[in-house]
Amino acid sequence: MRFKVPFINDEKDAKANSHLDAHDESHGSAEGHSDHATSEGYSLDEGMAHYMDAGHLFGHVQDSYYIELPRFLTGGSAVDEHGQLVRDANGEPVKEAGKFKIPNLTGATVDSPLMPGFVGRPTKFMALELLAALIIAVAYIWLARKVSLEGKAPKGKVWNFLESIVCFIRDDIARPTIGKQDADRFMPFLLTLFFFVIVLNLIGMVPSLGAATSALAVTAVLALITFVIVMGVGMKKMGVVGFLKAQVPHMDLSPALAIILIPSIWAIEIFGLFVKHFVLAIRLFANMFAGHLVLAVFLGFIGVTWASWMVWAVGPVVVLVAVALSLLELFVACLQAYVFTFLAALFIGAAQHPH
Amino acid sequence: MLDSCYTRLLILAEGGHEPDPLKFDADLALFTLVIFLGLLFVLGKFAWKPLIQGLNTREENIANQIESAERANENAQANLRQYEERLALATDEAKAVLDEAKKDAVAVKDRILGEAQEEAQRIRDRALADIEAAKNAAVRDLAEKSVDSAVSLAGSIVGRSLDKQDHDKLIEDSISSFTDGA
Repeated sequence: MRFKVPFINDEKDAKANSHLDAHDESHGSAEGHSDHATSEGYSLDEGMAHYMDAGHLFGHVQDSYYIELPRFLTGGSAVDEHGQLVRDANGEPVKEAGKFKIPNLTGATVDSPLMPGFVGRPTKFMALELLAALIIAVAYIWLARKVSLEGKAPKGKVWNFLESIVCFIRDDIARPTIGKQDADRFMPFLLTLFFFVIVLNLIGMVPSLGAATSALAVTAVLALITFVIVMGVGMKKMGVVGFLKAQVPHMDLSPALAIILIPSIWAIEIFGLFVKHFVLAIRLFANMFAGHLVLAVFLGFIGVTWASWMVWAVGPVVVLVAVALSLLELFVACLQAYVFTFLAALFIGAAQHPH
Repeated sequence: MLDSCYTRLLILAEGGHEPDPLKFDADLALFTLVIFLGLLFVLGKFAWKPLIQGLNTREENIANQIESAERANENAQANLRQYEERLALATDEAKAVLDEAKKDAVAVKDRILGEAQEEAQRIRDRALADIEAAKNAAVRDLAEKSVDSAVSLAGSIVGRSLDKQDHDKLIEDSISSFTDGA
């Protein structure tokens, strides 16, 4: 039995410049090299194997120009690059892989001439960030109106739920790390950070969507903002020189030792300052990326065994494992949002009260 | 199957399309920066500031309410203690009044009873005295009449009249014999 699994290269125009299409291209390039492949699609074993491609798996986790949907939702017939219908071994037209393209509002497909390295084309993660921002804004502007205008005791599940998170961040994150007097000043940043991360993480648990926090670009920017705030807080409090000096704890050293030790400790501390913010970005990114990748691998087992009887053995197990992993991911989504916020608060607190 | 998978990985590695989990998308980074700072600004203005102020105000209100409730409770406790003391005092007083009233009542009862008994005694005594007097009068009357009739009878029998002196002596004798006999 030969079953042709089509691969639709619907982003050929962007292929030349965008790494976002690496997933698509990986199959495209493989087509050319493989003895088993035809111009229309994959042979049975190729088609099964491609589910385990790192490129394919990463493609499910990383950013893209489309939202993947189940095949039956799009329903259109697949067309190859010559405009011909893709047919399986029995000559039946093959359905197109389910993809909902993010509208290319800017129309950009190549690097911007003004800003090299930037394409300026909307991606899935950008759409999800926008969605997350809208969800947070709607929920908390509504809550703020309730709390400040009505001034009554909290009432109802939604109100209590939303408010309890804010109180948790204030009482269990901001105040213990920054101190009661200064905590309120940093609450807007910590709250925005926490909700942005947790909502993006949780959106990642919705099938077909994705976790924008599994892109290093997103977590790196969040860590960078934290870094800037930490530096700003420290330098405002102690002055630029004072803050840099405060990185070395006071030690009683003989002058000879001090000349050697203090600069090297200072260098290590400054290096550590960068590293801990970099790790902040890596921690969140790696947790989200790895979690979703493991899910993709397990679900890929169904694809790999699809054409044989083994799918009946593997399928149910994979579904159970995927459910268990999804529950774990739900926990990780909340935990990592907490950890990111807590560490950011800790760094701010440390910059304010060194040693 | 695994072979082809491995081959594919090799091809991918050689073809320069090595999947890179650490790839950094400048577009996404810039967009994230804008979205995050925008969100921070908008929420800071319309959500976090009023929310935190509202929470602080509510906290103060609750603290004040608890404080005033505690004060009210203390007042109430003090009042209660005062009222209890007063009540105890009033009970004692009432009891004393009642006791006195009872004592008075008993005294009045005794007095009235005594007076009544005395009165009754007096009435009886007087009645007895009256009876005695009446009896004595009746006896004397009877004796006089008896003597008179006896004298006249005797006179008529004897035929001679006793003189006045004899007469009186006779009356006296007979009366005394009567009274002695009575």
